[in-house]
Amino acid sequence: MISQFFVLSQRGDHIVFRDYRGEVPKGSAEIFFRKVKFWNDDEAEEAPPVFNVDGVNYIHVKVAGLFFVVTTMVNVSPSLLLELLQRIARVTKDYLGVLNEDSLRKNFILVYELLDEVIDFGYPQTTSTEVLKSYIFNEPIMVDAGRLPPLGPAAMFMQGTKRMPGTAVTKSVVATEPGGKKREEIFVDIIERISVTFSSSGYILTSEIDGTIQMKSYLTGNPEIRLALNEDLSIGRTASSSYDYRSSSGGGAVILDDCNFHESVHLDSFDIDRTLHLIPPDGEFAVMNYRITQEFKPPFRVTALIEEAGPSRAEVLLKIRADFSANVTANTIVVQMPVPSYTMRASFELEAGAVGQTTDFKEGSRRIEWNLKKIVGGSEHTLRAKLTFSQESHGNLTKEAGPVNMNFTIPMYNTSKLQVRYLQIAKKSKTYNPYRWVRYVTQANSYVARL
Amino acid sequence: MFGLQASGAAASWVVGRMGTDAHLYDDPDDASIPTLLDSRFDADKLDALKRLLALIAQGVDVAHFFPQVVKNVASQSLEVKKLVYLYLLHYAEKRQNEALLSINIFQKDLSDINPLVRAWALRTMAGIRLHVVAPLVLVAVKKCARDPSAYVRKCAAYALCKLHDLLPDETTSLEDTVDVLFSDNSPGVVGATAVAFNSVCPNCLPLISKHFQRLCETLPDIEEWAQILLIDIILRYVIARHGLVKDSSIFASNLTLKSQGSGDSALIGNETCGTTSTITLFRHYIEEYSECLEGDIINCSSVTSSTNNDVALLLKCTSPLLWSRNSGVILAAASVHWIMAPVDQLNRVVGPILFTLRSSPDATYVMLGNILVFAKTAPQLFAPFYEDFFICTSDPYQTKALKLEILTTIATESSIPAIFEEFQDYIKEPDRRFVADTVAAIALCAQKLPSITTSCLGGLLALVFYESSISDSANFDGEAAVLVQAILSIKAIVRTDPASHEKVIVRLVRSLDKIKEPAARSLIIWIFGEYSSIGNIIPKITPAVLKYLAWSFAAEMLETKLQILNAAAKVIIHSPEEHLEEFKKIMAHVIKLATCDLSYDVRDRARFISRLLPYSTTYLNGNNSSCQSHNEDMFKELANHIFDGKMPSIFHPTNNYRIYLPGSLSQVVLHAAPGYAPLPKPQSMELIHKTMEPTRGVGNSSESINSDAESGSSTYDSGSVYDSESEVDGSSDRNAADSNTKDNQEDPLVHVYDASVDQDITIKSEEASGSEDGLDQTLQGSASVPTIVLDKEIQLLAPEQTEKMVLQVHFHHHLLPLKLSVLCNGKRHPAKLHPDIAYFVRPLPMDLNAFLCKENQLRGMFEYARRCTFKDHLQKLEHNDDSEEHTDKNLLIAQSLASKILSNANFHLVSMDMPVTFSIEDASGLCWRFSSEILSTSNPCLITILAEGHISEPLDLTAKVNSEDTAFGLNLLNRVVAIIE
Repeated sequence: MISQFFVLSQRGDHIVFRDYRGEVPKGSAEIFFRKVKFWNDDEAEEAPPVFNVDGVNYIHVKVAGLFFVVTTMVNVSPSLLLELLQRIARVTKDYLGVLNEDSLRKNFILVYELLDEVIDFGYPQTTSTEVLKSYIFNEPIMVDAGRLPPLGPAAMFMQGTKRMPGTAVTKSVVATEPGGKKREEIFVDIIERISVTFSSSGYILTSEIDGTIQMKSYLTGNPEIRLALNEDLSIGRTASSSYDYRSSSGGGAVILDDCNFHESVHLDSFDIDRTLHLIPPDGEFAVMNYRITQEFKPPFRVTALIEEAGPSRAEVLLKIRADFSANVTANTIVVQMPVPSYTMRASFELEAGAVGQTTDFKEGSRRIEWNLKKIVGGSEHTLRAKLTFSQESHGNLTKEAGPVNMNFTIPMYNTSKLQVRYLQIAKKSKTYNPYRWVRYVTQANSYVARL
Repeated sequence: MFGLQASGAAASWVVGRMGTDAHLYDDPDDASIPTLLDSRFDADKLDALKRLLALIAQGVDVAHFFPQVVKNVASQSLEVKKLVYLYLLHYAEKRQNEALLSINIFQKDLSDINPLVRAWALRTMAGIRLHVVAPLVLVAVKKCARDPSAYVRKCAAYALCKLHDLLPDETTSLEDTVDVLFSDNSPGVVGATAVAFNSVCPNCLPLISKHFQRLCETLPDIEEWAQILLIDIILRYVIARHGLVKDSSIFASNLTLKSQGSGDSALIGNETCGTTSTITLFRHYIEEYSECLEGDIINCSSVTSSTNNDVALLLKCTSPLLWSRNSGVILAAASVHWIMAPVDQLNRVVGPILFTLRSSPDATYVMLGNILVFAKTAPQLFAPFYEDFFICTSDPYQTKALKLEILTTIATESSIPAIFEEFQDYIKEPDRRFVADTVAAIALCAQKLPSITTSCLGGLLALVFYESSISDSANFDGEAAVLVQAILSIKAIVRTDPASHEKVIVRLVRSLDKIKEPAARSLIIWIFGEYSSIGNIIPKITPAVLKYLAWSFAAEMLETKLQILNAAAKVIIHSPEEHLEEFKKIMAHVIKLATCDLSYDVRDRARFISRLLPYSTTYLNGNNSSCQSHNEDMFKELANHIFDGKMPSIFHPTNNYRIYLPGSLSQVVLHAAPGYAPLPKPQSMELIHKTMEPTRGVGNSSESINSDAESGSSTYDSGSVYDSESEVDGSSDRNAADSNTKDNQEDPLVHVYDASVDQDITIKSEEASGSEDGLDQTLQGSASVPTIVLDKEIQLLAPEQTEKMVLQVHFHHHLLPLKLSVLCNGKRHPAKLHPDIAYFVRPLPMDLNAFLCKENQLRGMFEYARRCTFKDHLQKLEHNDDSEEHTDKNLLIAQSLASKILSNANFHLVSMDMPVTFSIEDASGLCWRFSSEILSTSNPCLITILAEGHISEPLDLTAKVNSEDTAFGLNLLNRVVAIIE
């Protein structure tokens, strides 16, 4: 069972330390930190989530720049412990509103109290924010969210778009507002992480959407909620039906390959009208996770070209086209492309009038990097780079320059066309009309264009 | 109900105190903590406690506040209680004496009306982890196991785990409680009980049988953390009860081996390799597999999932869990199917497993490790899903490496073109280590699927040329690794069939000129030397290459030089006649250069070769050749063996790779972590029940505490050391208040079973050094007396010989054992000396009225009762039957019991009631009353023993103790019962 639980900062300071069984020798946190920090001396490589030093097993996850670690002396399912760490991080975030060093330190008593309930003598007991609420007495102390760097998936709503109240997502689910009255609101986020690989000729090799519907409820009294999804939604792809769909409706219908639901969800009427009934527990949780491998329209088209331009010189042309409507804006776009290893210099040429774009040549990892603050739907951006080599190239440059890798976040856009048709809250009274926020976001998981 | 109440309280408290905690952490010392602790207001106490906890969190030792904090356990405020509990748990083990003070308040809290208070009291009491409190906790747990609140029952289940550590002897009564809790209605309690079962009696599978059906039904409703454990428990139960499933993957692989083995004996190396690995796989899964190998196991497996209801139920109830959102649960459920489901149903675990690859990257890593094991045994399961294992740019290195390995395992003829396309892209990755891994994976694929060998070699050669062309310009660390790995891969592929890959070797050798990396060069030279005589083209170029090598010898690095010498020797051994002379010249030149080399390794190698192949060095020292000629044949043979030894053709990578159960930690860290238990032996349920004790803890002899105790190196049985016959001894101790001489013991304190005792044996006190700081604050105030330790040594102890020693010790506390250690053969054997609690009281003279009056004051929580039987009188009665006919048998019984107790304990006999009945044979109503006073606190301790039953039979006695100090009282009661029995 679990011997110790601790949270370390990025510098290795103890923020939280709790020993449950007193069987692990002293200094385990230091041993852990040294091991993780210098896992591989020469390379900036991360330690595996599970490892063993001198008979002590260390299991850790990194959340919001903090190490959440448990140690154990005995054989416990590592998946269990990893899930538990994730869940502890989430519960703590639910309680504190934001998860960072400062908020943990300020609320250490609450955190210790939480830990006491979550793990007893090394045995995980409960990690449901809802259940824990009745046993926890301390009240969170809010950390000023304004000066915090954005962290976690919720933070992406804070940038770019002004439509969301920025503080809402950093609110604790248990704290009362300073004004006294709690604001009644509920957030439903549809977060999709997409993986696309383009072949050199531009067509899609593999594509996948990895989506989740996150809910965060601040409603008092936990009323029942009806969440209606697309009517043409279907689950499970048998070989024949998927091809039918694709040919007839041209990708209009949403077909999920697999999905799973949170235990509070009732699926009684799901088969009839695609609505989910649930009584949301407090805190943030995933109503549904799903996966789609059906073909979809990728949000960006990436074209990359590398050409020889005289001896020991080459020119790179990168072009991105945003294939979505103009009222949507993608932000924090990073495009990376490995270049031949004998590249010495790179000079860049941005398009005229480019705003908020930066370029860089990373000598260590031998790649060029192009950062764009935002891309408006329908627009097109290009970058030219001139590479200087230390020696003559060996004919085939496309073989030596790597695939283009792209990272981005597009708020208020989802690739799968999975929609929340409506979100109904069981009414307690006529005047009860809580705020409902339904938000979509698409992120790149692995967005690769080969040369 | 209580939830609302509690949050209401929290809310009201919070309103006035919002946002005031921050400064507590920053400077906790700025207020006077003792004053605040003694304040009348809860708010002040809270403030003080928070400051204390802040200090603890910052690593400051604030143990000296312990007495003041403990006082506050009695507080009515839940918030104060909770914080006190936190503090208490932190220091309880350090300050055992004071911690005992709080026990009475916990006892009181256990009957509080608020279930939260009851639950927390139980949890904290169990968490204090003192041996003396353990019996009290056991009583409390038994009571709480029947509590109306589910939360309290859940806490009781978790408390069982803590108790198990403290009271390993009480396993049976713990098991009973587990049994009670398993039949609970609340899923939360059942889940917690599963946890308790796993730590209290993991091998006591028969206990499950009556709950099995209900456990399966509740499984989906319990907490996910407990689900994982419960799945494992019921899997073990089903295996132990019914055995393995005949058509499961275990037997599928077993049977294929049998048919292959009998069918054709000439198996291709690859296939045997595969099947051997499955055999070892399941040998590792099942305990004592080797015993029931072959025939036995076939008998064991007389069940199929369709005919056996339990197996069917197990599969049915774990199926929905495959779609859990917790990857740990999915893995546990999948491993049940992996072991128990028929092969044709196995593919339903594949979807869920692949689905979990999309969860957090850390969970993915663990999952991939398990998939790898699944895939090694049953590649066909995952083969169609190879695309799921393609690498994402965001994967960390470990994940990438695992995915590569899986891809190589599941690659088939149909999927390999697509996989290869991917590999070609991976080679362009900037991470050189990963590229090297990819290159190695290509070689493995090529060895597995011969149809792609040619294209693989082509690609690898191209890579070698490319890498060698860039390596001279940019010299990065990882760069050479790829090149070397590429050549290694080529080497591995070529080895399968050197003759047909002759051209590859030639091209490699030709590239020697361009390749500068010494490791790569020496590899190529090795390949050249090894295959110098194979095929048609290589022998033709051999002279030229050898000349080139001789020419470049001086400029080479150490490892390359050695390889050149080796290669040259190999060439000479295989050389045809027409080139021999030429080769000998070259050889002589090389050896001449080598003997003058700076490195002694090279010089040694040169000397070695020149001796071994003397005929090659005739040019060097011709005069010696004649006298060596008679040895020539022998040398030649020797040389042939050394340089021409055939390599074992197929390398078995999986043979020494131990495989652990899926989903276990051992599977990830690749060693049997303590607590790892293989599956039970099929259909071994009864057997397991009987041999439960010895099998526990086997397998990790050095690490676990269990095995340490069982291996018998040092045991001390706390219950049975007390001698019942040493009357004189006992009374003489009465005056020696604190020190207790123990001799004439029938059971020795220490058994040393070490066979080779030939050195000194020393007994030392563990506490001798540490007594200054923590332990000396005993209640008696007689702290200045140190623990008396005999540093007497036993010089020699032969096997079977016993040595008696008299120890005089001073106990610091009347309940805490004294830790001793026996040093022998350089090893330390711990031993504990428990104080005899019956001598920590002094007789308290009082009359019957005073006794009854006092007894009435000490009712309720101060009273404990236990039942026991008394048999001693039977012997005496028999003895007396012959001599005197008309003795009062009741009187005899009363005397024998009273004398037995008085001789073993410092009590005062208050009264002895004789029964007034018509039948003289009836002893019911016999009653003894003893009174005493605890030495340390002078609290009275009243003991009442009531008899029931027939004179000629064993009597049922009820012993009762009334004392204000409940911890002491209960321990005293246990001691009294031990004396009686």
